[in-house]
Amino acid sequence: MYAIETQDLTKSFHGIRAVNGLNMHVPEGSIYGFIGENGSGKSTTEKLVCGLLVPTGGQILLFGKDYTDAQTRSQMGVLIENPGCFPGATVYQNLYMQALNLGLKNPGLEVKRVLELVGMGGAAGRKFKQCSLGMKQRIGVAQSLMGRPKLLILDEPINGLDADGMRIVRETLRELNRRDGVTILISSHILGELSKVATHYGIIRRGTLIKEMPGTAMSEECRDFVLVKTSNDQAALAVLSKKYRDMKPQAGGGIRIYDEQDSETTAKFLFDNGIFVREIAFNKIGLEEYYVKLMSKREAA
Amino acid sequence: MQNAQCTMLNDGGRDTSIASSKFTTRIKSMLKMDFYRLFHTPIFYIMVTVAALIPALVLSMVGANEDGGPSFSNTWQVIEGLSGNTAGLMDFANMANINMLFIFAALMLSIFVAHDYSSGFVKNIFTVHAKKSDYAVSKSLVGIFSGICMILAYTLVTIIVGAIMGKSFDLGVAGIGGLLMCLMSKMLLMGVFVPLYLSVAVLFRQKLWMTIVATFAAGILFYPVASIAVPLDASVLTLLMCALAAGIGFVGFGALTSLILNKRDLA
Repeated sequence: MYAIETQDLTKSFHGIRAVNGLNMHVPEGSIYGFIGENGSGKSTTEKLVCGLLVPTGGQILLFGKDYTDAQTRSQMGVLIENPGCFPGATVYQNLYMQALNLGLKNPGLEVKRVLELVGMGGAAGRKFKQCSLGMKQRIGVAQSLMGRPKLLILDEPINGLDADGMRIVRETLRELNRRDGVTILISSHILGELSKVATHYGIIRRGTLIKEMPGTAMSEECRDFVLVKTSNDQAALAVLSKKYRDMKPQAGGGIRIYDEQDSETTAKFLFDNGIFVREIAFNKIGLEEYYVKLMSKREAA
Repeated sequence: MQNAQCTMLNDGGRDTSIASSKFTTRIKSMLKMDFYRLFHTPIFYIMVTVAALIPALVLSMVGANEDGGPSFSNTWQVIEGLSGNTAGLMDFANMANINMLFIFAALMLSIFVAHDYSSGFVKNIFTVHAKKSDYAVSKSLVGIFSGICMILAYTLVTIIVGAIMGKSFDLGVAGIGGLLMCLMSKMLLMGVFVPLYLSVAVLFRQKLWMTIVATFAAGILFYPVASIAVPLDASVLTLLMCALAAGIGFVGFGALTSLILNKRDLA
């Protein structure tokens, strides 16, 4: 089952479509990395899913039910754009209010639990407006974790965090997902960090989801490989299969060899076997490189 | 650190009472939150203090200059005039009375609602509470409670300052029963005015200043109704009429607020 499913979801602001026929599928129990440039419609989509914006068209299902279902919505935790906290109130008071909002039985205990979880136990008495950006972000994450939600929607949760803050948030999210099966929809511009936690990916551009894939498929796309282009790829493939197991022809010409890191070794091997190499290079594609390439292709198209 | 985190993460889903999605449990949780916020917000105490200061200032300052200004020889004049005495409604003497609290209630509620939006806390509220009527009911009840607190503070200080300044406590034809009916009717009328202000506040919620100005304007526009409808010599019938109006206003404006929230973007 999908924790979040949207069908032809559309949202217009003054005639401009911020989200345009979005079909998103967030599997239950996944960590869904939601990627897109600024203004691509990530936050708008998240707000629509949370019921903060009224869709212009389309449908949103949460765990198979309409997104307006009160019971389903009560199982959500959110951090969208910035933490929803009153600046003049203390961190404790802000979280306590959210605990009451959720109807938690032991609000005080829950506040302590989530603050400890994000490494902010010592900041409870501090006024929210006196907290640094990183601290505010962690408080926002803590707020979203209150009451152990089944579905977490986090928009740029690691923005402004230092390395330790990122690690704490990353480990907390992984643990929540692994132990409690919490589904997490997370968007971030820090793609390297996102790739450390995401099990699924969705790439949005100009309000439309242009790619959606599981983490395994993304790993496939992002693997390191040696790309070799020869005068006869068919013959080269036959020769290379004597030495390498993990390789595949690339669309548009060339062969990708995944179980080799050294392009010189490959070149020498082909030369020794009578294959003329036209072009050879080692490619390292991370999530960021993949995303940039994908966007460039789209731009060109 | 990792182990510590693991022990703090319990098994299972969200253990909340609102997950039952019953109206009463949802409202209970939201009311708890709103009242907690109200009692931890300076604006509530400021408004109640201002409400208490008005009769003190009016009775002490105006009373000291009876020759030049309007006469406040009787303590109850700052509560309300007798029926039929509303002709000079826009005179200072008729404006500087308990009905001003209907404007303060507007101000108080608008700031309360506007802060929900400006802080972004509204995202937490509406993500969890899918039913917009929860918000309308809870905010209205908190606003009514604040209004009643202001009326009580105003009345209490009126009596104290009236006694200190040696003003007359003669109720005339109204009698103590009329005074009590008048005060209770005013409290009930908060049930009409506050939900009305809430509708205006959520309609203009995009900007903090717009919310405050619009709600304040609504307060200025409608508060004379409270004076006309509820004189000092109010009767049981007045009380019943106000109760009926409060019921209709609460439900009607509550539905209007829910409709506005349902039809428009929230954040």
